[in-house]
Amino acid sequence: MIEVQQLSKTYEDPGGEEIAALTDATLSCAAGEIYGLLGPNGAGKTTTLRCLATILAPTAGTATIAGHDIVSQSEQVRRSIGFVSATTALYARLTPRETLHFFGALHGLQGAKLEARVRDTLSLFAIEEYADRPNDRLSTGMKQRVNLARAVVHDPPVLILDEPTTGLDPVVSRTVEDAVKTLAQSGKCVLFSTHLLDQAEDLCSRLGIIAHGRVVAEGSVAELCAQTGSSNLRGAFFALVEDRLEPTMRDE
Amino acid sequence: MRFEIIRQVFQKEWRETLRDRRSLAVMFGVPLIVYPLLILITASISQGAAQRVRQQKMRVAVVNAGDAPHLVAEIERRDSGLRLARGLDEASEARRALDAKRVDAVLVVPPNAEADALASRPVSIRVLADNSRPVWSAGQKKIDLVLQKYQEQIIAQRLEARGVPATLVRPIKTTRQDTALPDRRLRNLMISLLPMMLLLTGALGAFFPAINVITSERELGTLESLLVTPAAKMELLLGKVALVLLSALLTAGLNMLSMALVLWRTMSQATALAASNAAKSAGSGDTAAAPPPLPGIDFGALALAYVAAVPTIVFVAALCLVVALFARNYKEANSYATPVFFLALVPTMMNLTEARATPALLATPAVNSSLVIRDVLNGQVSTGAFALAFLSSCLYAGLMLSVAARLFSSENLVNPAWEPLSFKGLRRDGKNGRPAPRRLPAVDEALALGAVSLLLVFYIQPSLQPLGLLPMLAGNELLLIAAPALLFAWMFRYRWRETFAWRKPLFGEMLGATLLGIGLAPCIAVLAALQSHFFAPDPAKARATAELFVPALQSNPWLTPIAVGVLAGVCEEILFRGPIQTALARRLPMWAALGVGGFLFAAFHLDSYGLALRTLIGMILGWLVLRGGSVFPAMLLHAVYDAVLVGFSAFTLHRFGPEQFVKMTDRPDALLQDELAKQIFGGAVVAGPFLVLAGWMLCRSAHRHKARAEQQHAAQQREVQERVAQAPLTPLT
Repeated sequence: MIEVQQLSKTYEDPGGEEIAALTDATLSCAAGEIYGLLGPNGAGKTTTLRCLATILAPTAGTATIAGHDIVSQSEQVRRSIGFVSATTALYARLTPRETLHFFGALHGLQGAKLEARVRDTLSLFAIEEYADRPNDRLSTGMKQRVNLARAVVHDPPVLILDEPTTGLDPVVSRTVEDAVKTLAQSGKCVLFSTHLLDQAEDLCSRLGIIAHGRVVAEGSVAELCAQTGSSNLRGAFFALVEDRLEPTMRDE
Repeated sequence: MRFEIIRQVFQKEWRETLRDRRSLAVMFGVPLIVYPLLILITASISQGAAQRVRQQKMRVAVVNAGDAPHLVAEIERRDSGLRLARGLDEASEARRALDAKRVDAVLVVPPNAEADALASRPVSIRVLADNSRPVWSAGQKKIDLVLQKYQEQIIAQRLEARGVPATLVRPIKTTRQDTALPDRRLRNLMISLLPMMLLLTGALGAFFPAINVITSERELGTLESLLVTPAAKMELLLGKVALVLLSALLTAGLNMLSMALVLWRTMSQATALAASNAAKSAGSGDTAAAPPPLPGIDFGALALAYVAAVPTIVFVAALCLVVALFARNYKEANSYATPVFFLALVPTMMNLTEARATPALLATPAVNSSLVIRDVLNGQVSTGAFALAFLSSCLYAGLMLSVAARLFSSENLVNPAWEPLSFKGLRRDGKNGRPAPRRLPAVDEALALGAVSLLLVFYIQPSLQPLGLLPMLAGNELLLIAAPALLFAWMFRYRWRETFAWRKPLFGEMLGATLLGIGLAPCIAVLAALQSHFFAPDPAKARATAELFVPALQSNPWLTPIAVGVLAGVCEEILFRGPIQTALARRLPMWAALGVGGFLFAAFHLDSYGLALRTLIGMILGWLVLRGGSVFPAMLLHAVYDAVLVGFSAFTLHRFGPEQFVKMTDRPDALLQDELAKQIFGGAVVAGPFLVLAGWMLCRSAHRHKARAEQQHAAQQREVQERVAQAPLTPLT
C-alpha cells in the first residue's frame, strides 16, 4: 500500500541555508497493518508524512501510495489517503456533520452516497449525539474523534496519522487508539507517527525508527530488540537513536 | 478546474462568514445603521452651529454715530441682524472694544458724513473687524447689506433733491434664485466622499474574510486538511477568492447605496427647511420665490461609478489576500493591512488637488477610479477615459491576483515559520555560496515589467520633452524602456541569452530584415493613409510631433534618422521582444503570443490612431524573433523602418521648409504637388510590396535553414550519446 524508496527532503531556512530534514528514507507498509514511525521530536516524522500526503514535494527519491506516485499522481494519492495530524484543527463555526459533508464533497461524493457515508462515519465514531453542535463547543477528545472521522469520510484505503494523540489525555488517547485499531482491522493501511514508546509498542505491528532525518532501523518490536541486543523496545530505541546522535550531543 | 469543488469551497467559506458576527457587522451593520446615524448626528450638530451663528446678532459700534443718523436707523431695524453698541463714539474706545471682543465690528464714520454725502462730496466709511473670527464670515454680509441700503437711501435723497424719481437709477428689479444648488451640493458631497468610501469599505469588506480564509486557516492548521483532499490548490484559492471578492463588492455597494440615500435624505430635509424659511420671510414681502427643487439621486451615474470602482475594489481585495498570505498570523495580518487602508486616502488627495484626468493618472491604480467616479458623477466622463481607467485597473487587479496565486501555490504555506515577506529570496544567491538556477521570465513578471516601464514613460517623458528630440529619445529609450528590462533580468536572474534572444543571426535573415524595413515603410504609410479616411489622427498631436522633429532634422538631417532608428530599434526590441514576448510565448500559442505582444508594443506608443498598424509591425517583429531565435534581425528591421520614415521627413523638411512641413501633417496630399517627392513616394509605394515579399522569403529560407541545421545537430548528438552508451567500459589505467 505504501512504498517509500530513498525519499529525501531539503528545506531552505530563512537565512538561505539548506537543511536536510529527511535523507534516503525507505519503508513500506501493507494493508491491514499499523506501521509506527517512531522518533524523537524533530527527527523528520512530520516531513515524511507530509511528503507522503503530497503537501510537500520530495527533493529526491520516490514513493507510491496505493500504487500511485506521490509526485506525478498526487491527486490520486490524495484520493486514497486520510490525513490527521496533531496540528490539524476543525473549522470552529461548522458542525461535525457539516465538516464531514464538506470534506466528503471535496472528495467527489455527492447526493445520497454522500449522505450515507456521513451518517455511517458519524455512527462509526459515535459522534451522532453532538453532530450538530458547532465544533468550537466540543471537547478536545470529541474534536479529535471528528478529525479522524473527517479523514475517513471518503473511505480511503490508507491512513496517515501524524502524532494524532499529542496533547490528549490518556483516556481520549485510548479512544483514538481504539479507533485506529478498528480501522486497521477493517483492512486499512495505517502509517502512524509517534514519539511515545508505549503507544508504539501497543499499537503497531511494525516500527520504523527515525532519527536525524534517517530511518535507522525497521522491524517488529522483537526484531528491533534482537537487532540491538536489548531486552525491550526502550533499550532498542535508545541504542538506535543515540548511536546516531551528533558526537557533541553524546559528549554532553 | 472543477466548478463543483470551487462551489463547495465557496459555500463553506460563505457559511462560515455568515456565522462570523464580526464580518457581518462590517458588511451590513456599518452601512445600514452606523452611517445614517453618524451623518445625521454630524449634520445636525454642524447645522445647529451654523444656525446659531446666523441667528446671533452682530454687535456693531459706530464711531461718530451722530453724523450718520440714517445709517444708525438702518442698523437698528429688526431684520438687519445687527445690534448697535452704544456709547462707543470715540475711535480709540471702539477699537479697544473690538480687540476685547465686546463688539464684532466697528464702522468708522467721518465727521459730518451724511451731510457731506447729501452734498455730493466724497465720503468713505471704514469697516474694522477681526476676519479670523467665525462670527465675521456670517456677519460680513449683514454689514454689507446695511451699508448698501444706506447708500441707496443717500442716492434716493440726492435724486429727490434734484427732482428725479429714484426708480430712474434702478430700472430693473432682479431676484435671483440658484435652482441647481441643492443638486450640486449633493453631487459635490458625493464626489468628495464616494471614491474614498468605496475603496475603504471595499478593503474593509475584503479584509476580515481574507484573513479568515487564508491566515486563520494557516494559523489554526485547518489548511493542512484542505490540502490533502483531491481539490487542487487553485480550486481552493478560487473558492476563497470568490468569497473575498463578493464580500468586498457587496460591502462597497451597500455602503455606497446607504451613503447616497442618507446624504440625499439629509440634503432634501435641509433644502425643504430652507425653502419653508424663505417662504416665511418672503410672506410679508412683494414676491414669493418658488421653492427650490429637492435634490435627486442619479442612480444611473451611481451605478456607473460603482462599475468604474469594481476593478479597483477587486485590486484592493486581492491586495488584502496577498497581505493575508504574507502574514503568519492574525496579528501580523492586521499590522500589514495598515498600508492597504492608506490607499483609501488617495481619492481624498485627488479631490483636494482637483487633478485633471490625464492618461498617466488614468493608468495609476486607485487614482484612476477616483478620477473616473468624480467625472461620472459630474457627468463629464469620456468613454476613452472610462475604458483606460477600467482596463488598467483590471490589469492591476489581475497582477495582484496572480501574485496571490503564486504565494498560495508555495508548499511553504503549511510551514508556520515561512516568511514570504523576506527580501532574502529576491536575489537568490549566497545560499551556501551557490547561486540559484537562472530561469525564464513568467507572464506576470513580464506584465509587471511592462506596467513599470509604461508608468515611467507616462511620468517622465513629458519632462524630457523640452530637452529636444534626441536627448528626449535617448532618455526615453535607454532609461525608461531598455533599463527596466535589463534590471528585471538581473534582479530575477533570467537566462540572458534565451530571454533576450541574443543569438547570432544568419546573413540571410539580416538582409531580409533590411529589405522588410525599407519595404514596410511605404506600405504602412499607404495603409495609414487609407485608415485616415475613417479614423483620422488628432491634428494637434500630429503637429506637435512634427514641431518636435523640426529643430533636430534641421541641424542634423543625416544623423537624426539614424539615431532615432538605432535608439528605438535596439531599446524597444530589448523590452518587447525580450522578457515580454519570451514570457508570453511560454504560455500562449505562437500567434496569440505575437498578437498580445504586438498589442502591448503598440499600446506603449500612447497613440490610439496608430494602434492597429503598430500591432501589425509588432507582430512582424515578434515573428522574426520567435521563428529565427535571434533579436538582431528585429532590431535591424525596426531601426531601418524608423530611419526610412524619419529620413523621408528630413527630405520633405528640406524641400518644403519648416512651416509647410508642419502644415503638411494635416494635409499629407500636399506632398504630391512636388514632382520629386511624388516620384520618390510613388517609387517607394510600387517597390515596397516587392521588397517586403523578398525580405520575407529571405527570412523564411534562413529560418528553414536554421531549423534543418538544428535537427542535424540534435541527431548527431543523439548518435554520439548512443555510441558512448554502447561502448565497453575500459579502465583508464
